[in-house]
Amino acid sequence: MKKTYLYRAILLSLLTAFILASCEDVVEVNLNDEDIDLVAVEAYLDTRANDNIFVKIEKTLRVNQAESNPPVSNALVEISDNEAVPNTIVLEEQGNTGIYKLPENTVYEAVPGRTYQLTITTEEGVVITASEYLQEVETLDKTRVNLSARGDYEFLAVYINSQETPGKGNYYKWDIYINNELLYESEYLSFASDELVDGNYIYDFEILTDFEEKEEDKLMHKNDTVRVEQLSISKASYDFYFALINQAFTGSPFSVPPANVPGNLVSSDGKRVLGLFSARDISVGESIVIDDNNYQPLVSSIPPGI
Amino acid sequence: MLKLKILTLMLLCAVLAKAQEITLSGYLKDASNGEALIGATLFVPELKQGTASNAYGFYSLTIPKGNYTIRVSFIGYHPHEQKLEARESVTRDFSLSGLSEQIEEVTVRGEAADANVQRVEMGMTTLPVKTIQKLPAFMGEVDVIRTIQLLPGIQSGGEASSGLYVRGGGPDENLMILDEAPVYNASHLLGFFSVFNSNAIKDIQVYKSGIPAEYGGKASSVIDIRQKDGNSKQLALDGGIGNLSSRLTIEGPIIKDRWSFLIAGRRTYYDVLGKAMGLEELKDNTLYFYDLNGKSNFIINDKNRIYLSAYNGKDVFELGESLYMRWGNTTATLRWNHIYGDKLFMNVSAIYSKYRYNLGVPGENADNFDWSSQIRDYNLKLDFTYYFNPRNTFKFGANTILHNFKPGQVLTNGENSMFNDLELTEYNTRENAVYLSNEQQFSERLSVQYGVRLSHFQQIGEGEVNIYENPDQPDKDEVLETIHYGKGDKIGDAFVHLEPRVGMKFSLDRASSVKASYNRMVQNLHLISNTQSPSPLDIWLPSSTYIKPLIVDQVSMGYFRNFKNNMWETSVEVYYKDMQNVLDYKEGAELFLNENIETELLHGTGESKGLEVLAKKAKGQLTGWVGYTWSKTTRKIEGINNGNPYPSDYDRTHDLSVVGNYELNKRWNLAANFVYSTGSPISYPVAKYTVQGNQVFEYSARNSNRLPDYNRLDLSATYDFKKNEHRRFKQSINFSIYNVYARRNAYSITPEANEDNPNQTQFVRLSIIGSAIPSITYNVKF
Repeated sequence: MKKTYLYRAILLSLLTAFILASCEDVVEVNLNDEDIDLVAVEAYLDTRANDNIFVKIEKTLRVNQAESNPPVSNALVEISDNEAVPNTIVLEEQGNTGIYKLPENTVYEAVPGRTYQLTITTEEGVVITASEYLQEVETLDKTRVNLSARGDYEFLAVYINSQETPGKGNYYKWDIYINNELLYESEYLSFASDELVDGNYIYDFEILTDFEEKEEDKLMHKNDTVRVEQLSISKASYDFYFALINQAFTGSPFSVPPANVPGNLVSSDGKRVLGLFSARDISVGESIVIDDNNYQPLVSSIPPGI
Repeated sequence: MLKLKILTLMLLCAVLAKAQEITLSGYLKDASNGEALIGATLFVPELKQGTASNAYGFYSLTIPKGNYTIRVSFIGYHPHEQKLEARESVTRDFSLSGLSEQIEEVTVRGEAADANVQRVEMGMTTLPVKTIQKLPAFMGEVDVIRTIQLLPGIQSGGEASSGLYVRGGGPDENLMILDEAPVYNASHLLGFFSVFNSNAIKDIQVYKSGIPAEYGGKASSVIDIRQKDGNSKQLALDGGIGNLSSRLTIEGPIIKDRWSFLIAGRRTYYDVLGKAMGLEELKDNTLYFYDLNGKSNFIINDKNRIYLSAYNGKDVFELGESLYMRWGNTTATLRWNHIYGDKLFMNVSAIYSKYRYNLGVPGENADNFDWSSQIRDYNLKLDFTYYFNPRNTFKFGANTILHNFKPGQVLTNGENSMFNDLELTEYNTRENAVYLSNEQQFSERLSVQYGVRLSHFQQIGEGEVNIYENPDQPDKDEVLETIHYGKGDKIGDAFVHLEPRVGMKFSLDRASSVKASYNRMVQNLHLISNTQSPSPLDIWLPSSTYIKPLIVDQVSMGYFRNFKNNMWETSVEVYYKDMQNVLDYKEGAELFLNENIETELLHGTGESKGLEVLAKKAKGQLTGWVGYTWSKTTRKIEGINNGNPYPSDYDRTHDLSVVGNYELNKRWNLAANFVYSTGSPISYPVAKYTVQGNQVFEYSARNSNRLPDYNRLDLSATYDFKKNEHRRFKQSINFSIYNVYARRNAYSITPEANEDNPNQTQFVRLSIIGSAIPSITYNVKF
């Protein structure tokens, strides 16, 4: 699993602990006048049976504007694959929200092994495209919730067990749902590459540690339902999430300078398109209801004799 | 025929004249403890000629036979006068007694009072340790590097930032040597403290321009730190206990006047204090650093001396059982001084230096790992000084260094770890140099120091080199092959450079002079880091097929003038630096454990120019200085900022330091320093959009904004106990406050979504030190 985000998260948590007299507060800044006005796309295609396509198109805002990003409406949004006779579908905008999904009562089967193309034609005639290979995902065998060794068994953590596909170039993301709501904040993004672990069976990989001290700040409480979905993502998506998590952890002494998040979309007018199109295969893990048994240190999943 | 006769006559005269000359040589020392005096002067008023002692206290002066008065002097000491009948060459040592510290007298011990006007080296400042020890202490420790940052042209990156920016140069462009051994990471605790314990140090020389030919390897400055030799007359003790750290120095003779030793140790214990204060976060955690310095000198005879110096230090941080970080330097230097005749001084040094760090998760669980990285130097150095005549001092020498880099190694414990063991390519390089220079006094007014250094840098095996499709734009996905080299094999071509060094001084009158200098510095070791603070992520890499040598040309000019019999020293200097092959990183570069690091690097050019003003009061009840720098440092790199020039990370438009020291009376000494500088460049976003419910920011021009200005006031008061006066046992107590008006200087300002209104973006300022920090230290000296 990719070393960098793992240790960076560790380093940040320890750093904030030891800087004794440091502090954070909100300040006013003088921003530049530049107005770049670009289009941002957030598009997902996954292997669920229903409602498995989501495309959101919006325009950027200046940083000091405090409203929702303006939607890009009335665009022609299509998904197709690379079969001999391509399977194409045109998505329907939900009202004027700039969000495009499958029309009602329609299904579109996403098959691992195929390459999918997203084509957006805006009202002004600009064509935005992106292409993603849908990689088959390994089954998420087991999810565990126990007390983490990090922080000396005071905090709950979520662990997964899965095989890693042999052959370098596999990337994973874990979506964590607490009470059926996705834990969406960038700082909790959980994703990895197979660079250091290629082909190994992954036992008890810690994908989330709930480091909050106060009960009201904690992410997981007793009686909460936790469910993990393991996704196979492309390298482009991995690079995207990597840059996204760097933006979440910026500003500390160990942070890198702020950088733009790279995407995989191109525009016919040559302008940079922000955001990403990600095609992913999903393995849904078991749902765990947290009770007293979870407030124990993890007992290793590694079978004896290994 | 006539020509031949004249020639022979001239030769004869020269020989005769030579036969009439004798050489006076020997050592200049402190009478109370035998410490060699560096830069003390020996002057013959009848001839208006003199010389200064070198780094080992050695002097040599060639004069015609005759009867003279020899005058030996050094600031802070009673001058010594002696009549001498110079019939033949003779070796004579002189010892000077220190002046007792009284009000109105000079309070700073150091070189000659008008040295700043008279010496040729223009960009050089000598910092006596006594000055440093009087300044306000941060967390109980006075610091060498922190004091150097108060000089014009030298800036710090702020709290928790790595080291020094000298005239627009980066933190890796400073040659920091401790008794000739390079210290690769001179920062403790993220850069709050340096590794140099002021109790073990005698003298610091800082060169920011006009760097003499005997130094090389780094582009922007030389910080030459020399440890004390050790009291050769009697046993002495110096210690301090503070609320945050403690130190102890023991020095003394093993054989009186011949063999002395010094051991100095220092340790901080923030974790102990934190636990005592009940800080939850530090309950099970360990946080400390220590330094240990040692030195021993042995005088074999008049012509031979041996010195052994060593240093070991470490930072340790452990977060309970879940994470540890340790890093530290180890250095050792063995030196032999030998004097040939009485004019040729030789020093041979064998030097070892190692910097190592570890980061890891202990235990045997799935996420256990240990990552380590290190750099080691083996260095052999030969330096000669030939005191040809009072008007010419030649210096020449050679140096060979073997660098070994282990940039990264991951090891795991047991079978459960999900990480695979990994090792990044090891690098080996050989860095050689020869130099030759002369300091020539053309007339009473004009002196010129000129020289040249030839550097040769070769990467050797073992090692590996990736070959890319486009060598000028290496791409991770375009690796054609990886070539392996065996031990000792030459890898690629050598980098050979000629580095001319010239400095001149022209005296306008006794109290003022004009100086100018030009130097070319070539640097072949590069610190690869794109974080603001020193961290275990930083690795040193050599110039290679893909990383070009940094070449810096600097011209500098200045006017130096002293007033009121050297009570006031003032100077104005201007400089211009041209930098080739400046290194920067691609946007979003990933440097950690990267086996193809060359694919993340970009090269370009840089430029820095500035004006520096210094006014210093060296005598009296009130002493101190005011330093101001105006500068502009930019870079131009293809692939960054669309190839347009942008401010360097080290650009600081204004930088002001005010330092004051006031001897209220025999008991109380007050000190203060105030610093002000323009904020560092920063990039703020120009647009935002949303992904998965998160605000994502888009940036445009690099470094086009600035952090708010940095300013800070520190105060300290030192009380000497009454019992001190005529006793050997002295006690004092020091109170310091760092950041008196509790300014929250911004370390970084980052955008984030407002919690209550997610559409709104707010900017959060992180201040490393956001309050006033007091400290108390009790000091004893015996």
